[in-house]
Amino acid sequence: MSKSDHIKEKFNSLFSSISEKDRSDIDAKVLMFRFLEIVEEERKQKNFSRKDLAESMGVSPAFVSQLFNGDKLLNLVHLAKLQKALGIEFEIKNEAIREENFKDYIPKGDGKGVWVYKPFVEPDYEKMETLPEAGECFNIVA
Amino acid sequence: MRRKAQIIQSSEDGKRKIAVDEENGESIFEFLEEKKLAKKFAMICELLIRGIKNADLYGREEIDTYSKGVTAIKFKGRQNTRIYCKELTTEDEVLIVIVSELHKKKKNQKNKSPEKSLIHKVASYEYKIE
Repeated sequence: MSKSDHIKEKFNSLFSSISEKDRSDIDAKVLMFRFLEIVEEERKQKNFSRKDLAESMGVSPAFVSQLFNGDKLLNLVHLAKLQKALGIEFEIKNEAIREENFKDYIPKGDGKGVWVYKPFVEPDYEKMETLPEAGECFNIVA
Repeated sequence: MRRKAQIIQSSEDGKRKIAVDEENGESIFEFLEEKKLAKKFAMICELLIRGIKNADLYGREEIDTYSKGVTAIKFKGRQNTRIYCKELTTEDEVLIVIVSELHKKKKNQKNKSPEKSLIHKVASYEYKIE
């Protein structure tokens, strides 16, 4: 095995050996860091120190450091206190993660409209209550 | 001479990638395993891939004009390890973070001679990405 393949394999094993529990923990911390990124921007803008932040959250400065280091997790009470202290409101929105990869389906214009072509997947006619009418379009990409 | 680096992670849109220095990759990997820092490393990689900023875990180490593009992955705590990295942006605007040099223990809060020497060393590296 070449040196380059060996290195790749080692790091692949590092990422893939992370347990389900640790993966959830990482996901939770990544989510927390999305909030903390905003908190840090606002804190600097308002000339707040980390100590001020800790006081407003009712926690110690060491705890704040542990949060930013990813050694502890924020809870919703902390978030509510941060909103109040910084005079901000976190916007909540959801975005569905699509299983399919749409980046390969490049929209094409033909002068009448824009069309997105995707591979045709044969439907399971047995499971369909009614068969589609001739010319009826199904399996449309939204 | 140009050093080689291997891509180990890539964002979904391919605009952010993480690579490892081929010469130092093995020792960095072994250190992460030995010190049980693999999970934290994976978490920091996830932040880099998603473009989430956190200066406590990753940040610029541009201490002077000779250290352009040098950054560090920070493992704060008793061991206080740093992994110095080099950031490159390709012509097609892909950001590549190359994990380059391991500094097992940063003993001072400020960058002293061992840190400065490593930062300058990483700054001088030229890479061929594979």
